[in-house]
Amino acid sequence: MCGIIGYVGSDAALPVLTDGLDRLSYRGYDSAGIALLDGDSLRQYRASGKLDELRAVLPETASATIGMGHTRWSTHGPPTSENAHPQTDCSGDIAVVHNGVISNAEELRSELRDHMLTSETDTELIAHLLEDARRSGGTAATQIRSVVEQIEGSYALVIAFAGDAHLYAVRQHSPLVVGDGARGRYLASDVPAFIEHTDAVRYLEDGDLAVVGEDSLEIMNGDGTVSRPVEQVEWDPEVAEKGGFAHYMLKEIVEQPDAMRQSLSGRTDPATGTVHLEHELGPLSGIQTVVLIGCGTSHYAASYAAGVIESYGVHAEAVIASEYRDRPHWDTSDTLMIAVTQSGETADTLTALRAAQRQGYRTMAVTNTVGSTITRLCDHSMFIRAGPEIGVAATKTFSTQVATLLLFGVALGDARGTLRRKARRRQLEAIDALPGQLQAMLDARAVIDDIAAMAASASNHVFIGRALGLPVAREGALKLKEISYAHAEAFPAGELKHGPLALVTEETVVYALLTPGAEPERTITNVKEVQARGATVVAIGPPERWRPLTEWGVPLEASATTGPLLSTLALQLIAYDIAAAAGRDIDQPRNLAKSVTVE
Amino acid sequence: MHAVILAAGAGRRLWPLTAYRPKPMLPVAARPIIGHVIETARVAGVDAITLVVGYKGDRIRDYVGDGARFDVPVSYVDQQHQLGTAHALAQAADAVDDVFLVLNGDQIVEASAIASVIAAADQETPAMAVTSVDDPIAYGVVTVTDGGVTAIDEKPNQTTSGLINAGIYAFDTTIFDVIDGLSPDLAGELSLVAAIEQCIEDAGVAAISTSGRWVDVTAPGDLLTVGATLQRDPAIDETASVDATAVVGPGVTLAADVRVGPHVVLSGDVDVGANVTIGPQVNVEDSVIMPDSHIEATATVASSVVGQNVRIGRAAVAVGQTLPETEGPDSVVVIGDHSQIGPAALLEAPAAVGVDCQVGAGAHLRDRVVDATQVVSR
Repeated sequence: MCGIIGYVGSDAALPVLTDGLDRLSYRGYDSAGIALLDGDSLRQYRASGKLDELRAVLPETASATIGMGHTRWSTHGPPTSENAHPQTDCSGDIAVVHNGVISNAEELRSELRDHMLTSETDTELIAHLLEDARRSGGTAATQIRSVVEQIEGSYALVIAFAGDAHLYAVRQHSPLVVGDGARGRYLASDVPAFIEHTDAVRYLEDGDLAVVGEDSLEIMNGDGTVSRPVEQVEWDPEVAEKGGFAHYMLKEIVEQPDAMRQSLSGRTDPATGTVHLEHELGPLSGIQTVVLIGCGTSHYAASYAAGVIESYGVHAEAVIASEYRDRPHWDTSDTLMIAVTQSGETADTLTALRAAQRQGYRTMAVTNTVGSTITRLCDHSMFIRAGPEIGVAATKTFSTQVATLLLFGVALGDARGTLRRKARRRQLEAIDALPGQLQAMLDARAVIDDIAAMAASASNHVFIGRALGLPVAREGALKLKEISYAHAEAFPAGELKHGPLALVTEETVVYALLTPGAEPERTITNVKEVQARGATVVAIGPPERWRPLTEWGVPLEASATTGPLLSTLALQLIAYDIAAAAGRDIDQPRNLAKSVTVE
Repeated sequence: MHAVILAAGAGRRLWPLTAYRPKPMLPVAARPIIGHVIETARVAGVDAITLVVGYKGDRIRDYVGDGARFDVPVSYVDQQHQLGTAHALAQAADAVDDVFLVLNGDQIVEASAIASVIAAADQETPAMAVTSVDDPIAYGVVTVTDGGVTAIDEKPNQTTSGLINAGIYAFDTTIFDVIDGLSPDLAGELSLVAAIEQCIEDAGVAAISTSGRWVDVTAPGDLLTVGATLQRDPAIDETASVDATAVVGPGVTLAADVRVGPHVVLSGDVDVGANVTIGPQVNVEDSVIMPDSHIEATATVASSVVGQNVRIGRAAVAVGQTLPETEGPDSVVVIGDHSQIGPAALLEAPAAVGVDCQVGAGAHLRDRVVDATQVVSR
């Protein structure tokens, strides 16, 4: 999604801004721009395409010590340099960068008929509204306030005025943070943009207007001044680097054993079958039903967890966030709504969660991002502790989201008395074995690479599974299609003969999940079904299951709770290998963004 | 100074521990050897590192990353086929300029030894560290005359010199021309020793005499003795949990998230990797246990090297011979990664179980078991 970086300080702003944009590039973008403010001079540089295109139009050095930058992911208007941010007013003395969507843009556009509009963006309207507001005098802050009152929707704005040594920042439903550094202050949509300069961060709240100077910071909300506490963030800037791997995605796949250890660390006591979440969540009494809300990979993680939690004797279901409807489904008194989102900023999930809150449900967030919007919205938060994930395709956050939710499920089964001690111990032992088993899967990589080499030429990829194998099949198909652009679909294995079998030809590779927990004995019929149509079958599960069926097997011994989850790693590697062989832009696939902050 | 660290080799003599990891990733004092090497290099004044990786290179990339955890920037080059140490070095030709250092990724040396090679590295000729050991015959014996290396004899039958090649070199970029001119040896490889022999003929090679710890792991049993010489700080990670009734001796190292159950006794030199679970009443003595493994209740593990993600069943016993002075490679029990040892199985030295094996309940083993084997007790 779009990214914002701003700087007011004593160093040259240009390198701070270009570095910041580099660090934001993981969010996905299709154009970018920078504004530099040097006394009365306010200059814009913009380009469509990758940051290298922007670099081509930027000066090599600039004396300005104030400026802002933006990476844009097109929503209103195509990715041209005219539509890139910063956007300016008619005079060019007011520059605005913006994340989010203005919902009353058309109305505002008709009111600005006497202005010269040069772009198709909603952002430009804000610059022109400010130009009008300036004529009525007052301070910049009151002018901005009057403009903000006219606009509706979601926005994080950073504004610069020629001749004013401050940056102005406004937040409404779109994340914005302020960093306090030794050499100045930073503004960003996301902490990694400036983490190399400071780890002291203030999170702005909805309605905040911050006036940011080199030596001053004033934050207003409504009529008064407010203070937002400084928080130390613990992200090591270097952790977010690729460290020798060809792609972030591969790095993040390979570091899954570590991420999983970190995710589980200190949360379980397998000897007594207890999960320690009290200090994170408080008592879990009175919950009869959990509803898990998420999008994309997070939805598949939620579906997987719902399947397991249901077997723990607690009613659980997963709902796609954008399909969440306001009509009452569940009993608000004993239902917990769980928002599952890696970034904590996913717009669809935030919207669904807000709707659930209005209906009066208790809420909990499961996320990777401390301090994200979802954590401030929900009653409780559980962090998956996977470390930053840069590749657009989620990998380690899928496995750790599932594991975190499983721990929550065990705790819930314990609190409700539906999961007895012996069963809890067995579950926790299986969960606890995940890091080592993930490593075992990685060690079987040669087998997986061979499969990928075979599958790379297929025109069609079909993923089948049952029970817990189904969300994993869907995740496998999603991984493959999003990074390799190959046609990949997942179906419940039993549904094949009700239609999708028509897709299966000799050019098709079918991936079958045959681990415990995916009802392998029933899926074997479907394997034979597709083999009869000439498809090549790739199977994941215990070798004695697939050896009679196919030479393309990934050996995996695991419990019914964790077997399908572990299969995901093999599917991630197959997707990666196929995309790498096709030379795709794996970390930033076309048309996709890491964190989707528009609905 | 820039250092090139050679970490591409497979380390086949260390089977089964190197089936899934390169030799530099073997743990010593609960930390991979390559971690000790990089740390030492940094202390000695190395300010940039290029790692030559090949066999299971992703393991090294995943652990070392960009070097931030060691406070020294690390870049990588790939040696796609393992065609000798000189061939490995040649892969780094574009990564270095001027004078640079070459280290082995699987040998732990003193920082002072590296520092003295750095100090000597400005000279016109290549430099090479030598050190004296008790049993030089196992290594590359070096003859030194007037401060210059005159001969290197790899694993000779007999020797008069007590000096060996310590595996620390300083070269300038002309070494790449020397390597270009080498012909492959009988094994089809280009070795660094052959390159140095050529340098001796050309302009001579300075011998830098060094002393102090010099550690090479050549057999699984070495991990037990080597770990004892390197203390980890802190020995017990703060996230490790140890039951109040467990006895943990002074030579024990516990990594993050290790769980030690009631009435467990850990004695002698014991290295336990991250996320290992040790069940009630287990006895462990003089052993290395790699990450994610699980030792179930009342099992006994002594003088053994247990791989990653291994499960040792209830009341199983793995005992090597404890003859500290004469401890050779075959006196320990080795269990490869991801293997499962059934309840009450008995593994006696020189038992070596490969990776991905399943040893049945009550089985009695004293031999090698190849990778991915199922052993059923009679």
